[in-house]
Amino acid sequence: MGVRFTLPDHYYATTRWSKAVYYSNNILTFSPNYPKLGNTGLTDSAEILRALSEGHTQVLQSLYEQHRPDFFRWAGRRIECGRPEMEDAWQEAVFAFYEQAASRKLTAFRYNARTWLFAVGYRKLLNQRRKTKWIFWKDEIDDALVRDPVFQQFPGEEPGAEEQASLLASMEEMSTQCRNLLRQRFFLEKSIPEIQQLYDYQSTNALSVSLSRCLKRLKELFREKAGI
Amino acid sequence: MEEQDQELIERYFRNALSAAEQAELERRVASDAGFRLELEAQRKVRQAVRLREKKEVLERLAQRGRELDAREKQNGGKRRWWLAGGLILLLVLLAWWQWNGKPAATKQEPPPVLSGQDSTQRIPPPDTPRTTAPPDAPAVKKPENQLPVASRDTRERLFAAHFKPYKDESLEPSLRGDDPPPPPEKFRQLYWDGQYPEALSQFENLPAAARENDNELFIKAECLLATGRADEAARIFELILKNDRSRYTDAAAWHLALAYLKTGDMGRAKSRLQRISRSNASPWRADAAALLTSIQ
Repeated sequence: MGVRFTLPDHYYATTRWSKAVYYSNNILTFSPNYPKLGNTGLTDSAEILRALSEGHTQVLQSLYEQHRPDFFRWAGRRIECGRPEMEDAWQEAVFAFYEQAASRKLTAFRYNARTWLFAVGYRKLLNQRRKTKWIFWKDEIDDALVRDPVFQQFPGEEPGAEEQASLLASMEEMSTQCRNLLRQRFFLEKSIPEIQQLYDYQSTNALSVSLSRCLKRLKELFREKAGI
Repeated sequence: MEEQDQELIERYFRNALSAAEQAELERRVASDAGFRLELEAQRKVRQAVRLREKKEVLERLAQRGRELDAREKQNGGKRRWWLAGGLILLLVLLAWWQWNGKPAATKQEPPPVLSGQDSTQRIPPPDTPRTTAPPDAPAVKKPENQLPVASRDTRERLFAAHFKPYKDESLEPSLRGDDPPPPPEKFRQLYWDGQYPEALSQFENLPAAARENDNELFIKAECLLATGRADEAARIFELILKNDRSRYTDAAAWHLALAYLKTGDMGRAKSRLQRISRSNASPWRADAAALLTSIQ
């Protein structure tokens, strides 16, 4: 029995992903031969990372649901914080996981997904609170945080609230086509040929021209918002 | 901006620069304002794209989180209701056990105060006196079919409300001058006067044949019931009903039901009352039905 994710229709056009899964009634199911989203199965799953690198965010939702109650219990025993803070930290951790996989910085798991997510979420909470309860035992997450410098980069720096609002407003004014192209190129780090194949552009030149126009428009919007 | 510069900037954002390329980039940033602006613009593009993706993903996760919380709350609420229901049920069971489950006290309660001069009952048909076996019938079974509705207090209250020692003209003693009455007459006189313990003592003075007479036994059973010895009374009533030779069989049936009620044998009491309430011949039909309703 596989783990099921509901995917939007347009994801069904992705041919590479379809080799790893089979579809029925808009439900994407990991085939029994593929690792499952269990407590341990996901940890070695290159397919999960590949799904995320292709932007299949429904996989994220399953990760988010699967470990969320456990994270709340675990973090609640360690840090004095409210549920909204834990929710924020958990969402940030899940997004960081997605971002790392999407940008191909995370190509294999040194830890299982749970450890990775808990470590990042925990760092986020520590960064906010810096007030921990007495911890009488250490677990694999403490070990990962101490040993691996990769977790030191979380949480990353974010632009200020005003700049964030300006950047988001600029993106909202872009066409859907431009937003998709920019997402594929600058978030999912796809190459020009990959995007050409995905969106059926006649040539890489045609795609490059479209991408250049989108970039130019976005930069104009940045300047407009900044009042330059 | 040349394509070479674009590639340098892109490799910079991918952390893919060599040491030499890194040095070249730093040199360009320091010396070339156009390059610096392009680098900054590219940074903003990436930030904008990332922020939009993040916003979409987090909104979706937050929505899912709210759904999960709502479901958890609902499940938690149901669990609380089940727990509360279970607790209430437990309390009800404990209360019931407190009232009915405790072993009955071995000490007999004092008999209820009874009036002894009421003779409004129907005159039964003439009897056919004859000797019968002594009342050594099987003992009345211990209460095994107790119904949960009848607590001891309730049973006593219902018994007191319905039980009156049976009296009619046939039982009224006749005056015979100054001579001491014969034992049977004295026995009936004591019963008539409501002196039940004395009547019971007098019963032992009766001739053997009289002590085996179902009518005399009926009076003895009435005395026993009036003095709270319901078990013994029930045994005699059962014998009278089994023999079916007394003129007091209807009264014996009614008082047998009351004796069962008093001893807490609710199953038999209910069964006996049902039979009386269905019997058109019984003068206690309505009383039995009313008592049955009270018990249920």
